[in-house]
Amino acid sequence: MKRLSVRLQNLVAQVAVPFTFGAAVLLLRGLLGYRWENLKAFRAKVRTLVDHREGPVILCPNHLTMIDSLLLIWAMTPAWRALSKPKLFPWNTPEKKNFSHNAVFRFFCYIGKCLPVVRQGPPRQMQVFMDKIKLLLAKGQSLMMFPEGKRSSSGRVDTHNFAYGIGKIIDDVRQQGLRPRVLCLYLRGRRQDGKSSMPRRGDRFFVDAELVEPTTHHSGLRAARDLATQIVQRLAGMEAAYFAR
Amino acid sequence: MTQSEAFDKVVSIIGPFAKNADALKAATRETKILTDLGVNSARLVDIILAFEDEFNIAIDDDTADKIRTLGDAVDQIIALAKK
Repeated sequence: MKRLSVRLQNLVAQVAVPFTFGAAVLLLRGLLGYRWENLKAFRAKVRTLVDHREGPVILCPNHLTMIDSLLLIWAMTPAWRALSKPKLFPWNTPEKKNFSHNAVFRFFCYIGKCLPVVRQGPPRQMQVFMDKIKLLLAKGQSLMMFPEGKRSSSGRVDTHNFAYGIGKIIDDVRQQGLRPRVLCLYLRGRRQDGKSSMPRRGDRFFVDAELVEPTTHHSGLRAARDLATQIVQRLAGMEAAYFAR
Repeated sequence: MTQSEAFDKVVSIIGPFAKNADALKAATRETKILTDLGVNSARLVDIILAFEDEFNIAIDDDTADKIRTLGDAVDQIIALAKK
């Protein structure tokens, strides 16, 4: 049943790509006036790092606003390429309570490849969620998860108080014999000082990507912590490079 | 190791992660780690790993999921330490 529901959602989302991407670009570019500093170079880099390689990819961005994932999906690929390369249109894992109260949000989340998650939910519910994620990664799809687990309250990548959920997912998937690669993404509007609900209208965004292949000799919770730490440290390094420019 | 010794060690391990200092001072076996002590859920993993190091035990995911209160932690630690 899980397999069928995920495959059906994937099919509907892929068919709806022109509508989804069109609506996203209309909103972000047309209404909110957002622009990119380095879009062509970023897309070429993502294609090199993700598109030409086999196997699942987990995208791990920093997190400053509520629409980071939408911005990144727009940045990663044009709609026509997302139609033929589903890996460039990643799955997302938004908190269920943030959108489940509104039918329009639920619709867009469904066609936007969102798998709702209830943080700290019952173990059985979390197991169903994890099974779906493993299924998608086993099929070579991509998944976007914010490794910090929340928006950075200081406006900088939080290297001390982050969640280890991403490490647990990677460790679980590795135990199935998969070797997911992690694409760290650093996104920041030029006028983005700290965290906010939305970027400022008309902001220009910088975005960069680096591939990480986190490894650990630990198991269980220690492995989860070790893997998550490597990813967050890499994001912090990308942030340092951004501010050093 | 007595229940009392284990309880004191558990409280001292959780102390640095607890935002509610008053609740920590008045902690009992029924004190809930997340809601009463104000521990960030993301830090539970650090606490579990600190238990493992301090008591020289291995806590699996299922056991970790059962730990809600300080009493749960003490009971699980003592049970694992006896194995």
